[in-house]
This record gives sequence, C-alpha cells and structure tokens, in this order.
Amino acid sequence: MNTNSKLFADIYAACLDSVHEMGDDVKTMSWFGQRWHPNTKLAQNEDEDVAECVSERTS
Amino acid sequence: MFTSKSYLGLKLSEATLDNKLLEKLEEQWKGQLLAYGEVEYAETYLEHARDVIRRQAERAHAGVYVLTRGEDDALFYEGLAHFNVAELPKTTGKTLRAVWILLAPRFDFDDIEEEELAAISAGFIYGGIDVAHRPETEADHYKLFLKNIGDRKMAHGMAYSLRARNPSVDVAFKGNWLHIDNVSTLKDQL
Repeated sequence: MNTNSKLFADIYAACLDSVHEMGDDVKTMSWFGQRWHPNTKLAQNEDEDVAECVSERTS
Repeated sequence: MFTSKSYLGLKLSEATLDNKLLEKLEEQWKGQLLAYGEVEYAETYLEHARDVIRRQAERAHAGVYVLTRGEDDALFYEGLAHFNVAELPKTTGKTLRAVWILLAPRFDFDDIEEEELAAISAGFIYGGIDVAHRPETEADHYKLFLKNIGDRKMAHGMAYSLRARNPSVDVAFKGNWLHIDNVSTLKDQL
C-alpha cells in the first residue's frame, strides 16, 4: 500500500475530516464502536449481496 | 503514541493457509483481550474467516484480507475484512466487495485518536482500490458494506470531502453500500 501516494493522502484527509466532524458519534460505527455479541450471525454465502449481520451493542 | 503519520506501514494482505496471517492475528488479539480482562471476541466472525481460508481452493473469488501496520517486531494486526469479487446485475464488469470489516479488540476497549481512526479507515478504502488492481482480484468497481447509521454518516462525510479533494474518484452511495466506481481509472494514482 503506497501511503505516500496523493490518492492515499486524499482518502486519509477525507476520512480525518469525517471522523473529526463526527466527534464522539464515531463510536456508533460498526467498525470502531461495535462490540460483537457472541451470537452474531454472518451470511455464509459470499454471493449474497449483503452480509446479514445481527449484532448487539453491549458496551 | 500515534501521530499524524499513524498510517505509515499500512498493508492489506490476503490471509492464506501458508502465510498463517489469521493465526498470527488471533494470537496478538488474544494478548490484547487478556490485557482487558476479556476472553472471547467476535468468534463468529473469526470462525467464518477460518472457514473462508480453509475453502480457498474452491472459492477463488473470495478471501480474507488482513490490515497490518508496521513491520517485524513492531507489526500490528489492526483488522481484517472479507472480500469477494462478483459480476453483479446492472453493473458492467466485476465488483470487489468488502462485506464485513472487523477491527482489533483495542479499538473496542480503548479510546483511539482521530488520526488513527482515519488511518485505519483509509487503509481499508485505499487498500480495497489496491486489491481491485491485483490480477487475482481484478475488478472495475469497489464497494464497502455500511452496516449502520454511524457507518453511513462517516462514509457520507468522507465521500463529500474526497470529492472536493480529488474529483477523479467516482464515489457514491447505493443502498447500504459505499461505491467507488471505475477504479481502473485510478491506477496511475496508486
């Protein structure tokens, strides 16, 4: 991954803008704030258009 | 201590039976969990990842990709994603999809600096565009699944800012997916 490229720099800066704008709400993201429940179910078929996830926020 | 250069050394690599990337990731994550007094973390996701890797030979269009940062003794396993390539209805060419992303336990249990959150996000977004240019996963489009309102809010803000910074990136939303279309046009920018 070429983190010295302009494209990476643009994407990074855009992500930082958005994270900054979200403030504490960033913790509502499934990537950063979601604690996965042990019973979370995932789609097993990669051809499905959506990963059908069921999760529970426990934190 | 993370700085504005927290993105240095980011790498997105396919986990295989041979390179044992997933085993190494799980070992590091178990150490993190111990530090937080936790035992189990995202077992359903990790089991699914193990299964995808086990069945790699029969499902060449799907794979688990691990996002690492740093190298050698200071290599951090920051997250993983399930990618697949498919020809989708109403879409010309192939599409690479990130159907789920899972980050290391420390992102769940610690407060993380904004710069690092941005770096990890950029790692999966830029990393996917990069993967779409690799021969085994070549694709014309890249899209990421947005699971909840927080994901959508983040992606909307990112897309708005990215369009202003780099109009050549064809970024849009359809349903719960963030689309980056015509990624082949970005080859010279990688």
